[in-house]
Amino acid sequence: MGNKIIEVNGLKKYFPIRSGVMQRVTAHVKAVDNVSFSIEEGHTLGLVGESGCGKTTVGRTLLRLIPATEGSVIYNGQDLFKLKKEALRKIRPEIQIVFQDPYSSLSPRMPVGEIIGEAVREHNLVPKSEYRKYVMDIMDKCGLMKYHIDRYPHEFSGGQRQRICIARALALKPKFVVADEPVSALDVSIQAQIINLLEDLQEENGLTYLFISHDLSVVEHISDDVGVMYLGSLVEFGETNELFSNPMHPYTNALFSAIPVPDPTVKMHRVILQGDIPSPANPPSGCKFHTRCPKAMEICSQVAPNYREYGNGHFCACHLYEQ
Amino acid sequence: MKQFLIRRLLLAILILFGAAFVIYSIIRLMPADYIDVATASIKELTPEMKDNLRKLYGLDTGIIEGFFKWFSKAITGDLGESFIYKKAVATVIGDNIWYSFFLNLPSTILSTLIAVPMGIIAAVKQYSKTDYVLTAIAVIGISMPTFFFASLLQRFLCMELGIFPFSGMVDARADYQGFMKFLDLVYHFTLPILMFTILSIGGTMRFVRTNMLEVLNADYIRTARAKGLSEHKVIYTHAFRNTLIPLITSLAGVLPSLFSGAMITEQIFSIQGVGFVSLKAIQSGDVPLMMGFSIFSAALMLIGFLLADIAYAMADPRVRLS
Repeated sequence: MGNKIIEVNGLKKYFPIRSGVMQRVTAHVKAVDNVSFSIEEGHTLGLVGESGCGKTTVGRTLLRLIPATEGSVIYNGQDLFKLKKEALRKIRPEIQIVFQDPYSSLSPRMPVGEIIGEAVREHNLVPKSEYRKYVMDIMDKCGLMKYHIDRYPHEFSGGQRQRICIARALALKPKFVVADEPVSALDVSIQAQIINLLEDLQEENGLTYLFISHDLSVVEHISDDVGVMYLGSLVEFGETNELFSNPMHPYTNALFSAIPVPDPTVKMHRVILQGDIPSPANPPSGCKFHTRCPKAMEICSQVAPNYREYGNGHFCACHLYEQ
Repeated sequence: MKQFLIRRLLLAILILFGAAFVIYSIIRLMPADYIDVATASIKELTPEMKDNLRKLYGLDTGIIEGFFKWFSKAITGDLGESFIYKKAVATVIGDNIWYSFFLNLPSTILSTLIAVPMGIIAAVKQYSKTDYVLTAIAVIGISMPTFFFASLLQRFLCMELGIFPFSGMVDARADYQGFMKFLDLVYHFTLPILMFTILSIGGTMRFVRTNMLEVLNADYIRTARAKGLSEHKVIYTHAFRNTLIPLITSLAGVLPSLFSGAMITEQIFSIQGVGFVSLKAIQSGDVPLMMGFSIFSAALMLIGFLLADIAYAMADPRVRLS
């Protein structure tokens, strides 16, 4: 077992719903509900799940970009949630994020060099004399041209913009990067380039990734471990090969059966889920998945299953295996 | 850029021509003309004498003919002679313009300096008590009628407390010269400037607040926070810089209006600015002065639009004028 660079314990994020004349808090959207996992240094954890299951919120609360409701995140022995603002700011360069949308996450009135280099200067990561060269080197590494340094974001294509986002995160010499659906806004040919870039950079710099995606093929390709989320909670977690060859949770099964196979002769056995994803403001009782589960039993609607290990670091929360 | 300017200039001339015609028609359609107003108290005047006077003042023509008479002179730079002042229109405007400027410039600068930080604070602390208080002040500023607010100020600050002079530009009983005269002017202008400032804070503040709110929720602000920048940097270099464009644009548009005068304020405080003079012109049917003033305002407005466009192109790297 390697060194755990990040440990998430019982992370919760509830968004209040206000209503009525006085705008009192009447309910909560449980976007993230009791999520725990850890990532080893140099590894990649893939986080998958449907839209709206709380993947992105996990990534953002983890880095304290939005305040968590409960839980702790231990980064290299420090609890990020207990750090003072100033101390957190000092540590920010080490924990970076690449956002999902490369169009809106770049300030439109800043030249690329400034977007990438601003925080480098702010945190004094390189001496002043080497600053411009440093920014250019990073751009070069991320597949951007050096003469792009004085251009503005609107002059770039989507793929180039995502490279700028990656270069921006990487310029800060991070140790841990949350990649929040970094390729979902790009078309497939560009996706492959960006994934390869992320992998190369990881190898070179020994980065640790939390890779958030709904694209299972991409996750299988890039991740060492995979966590499957449903309605704000982890339902299954395990080493990638183990999980993909032996999925336990019915939800994971359903997800995996939806992966397209590039062979028209293969007959697919799709597990089609009934109904829509329930509202996280009012999640079902017991196991949150029981309303759509093809193998639901009586107990499922009454008691929430335990999230526990079934050997080989394979975690699952399902009554099918609890006896 | 050059092409853009030429095109805009040609367009401006066309607009001015149209505006001048419409304004002239409206002025001439007014029920009582200068002769009626000026001779109202002279009972012995026969209609023939009135017609002679009209001929003398050039008011005997139809609207179209009169307009082209005025226009053919105006295009050479001669705006005619004011009926009431018996001086060239350009001179009348030129004499009074600085009073308006002296009233407008300080209050525009002051209100911007106060309103921008207020707007930023209100946006950063959205829905807090601070926000509500600042917004309430802004709404009062926006909705308070000038004449009412001016009367209130005069009632309390001038009559009750005697801090400021009631109206006028200089102390009529003291014949100040040189620097003392300037100080006296400043003293008399303080209250109108103060009132103008308070009344115009609201609009700018709401404008800044709305724009800031929009920007503060943008994704790239989250990026800036994720970079580990200080909150001060996030708000001022990232968020505020992006709200500067609409702000600069609106301020550039305001620039020419510094010269255009404020009819109500100047009237209440007896400040002989462009607004004061033009109101007088309207009341007495002084056609050349009204035309001169209207064309002057319209030209300023067009310059304002042009300045706004140029400012916009300079502040936003994505806009290129062509």
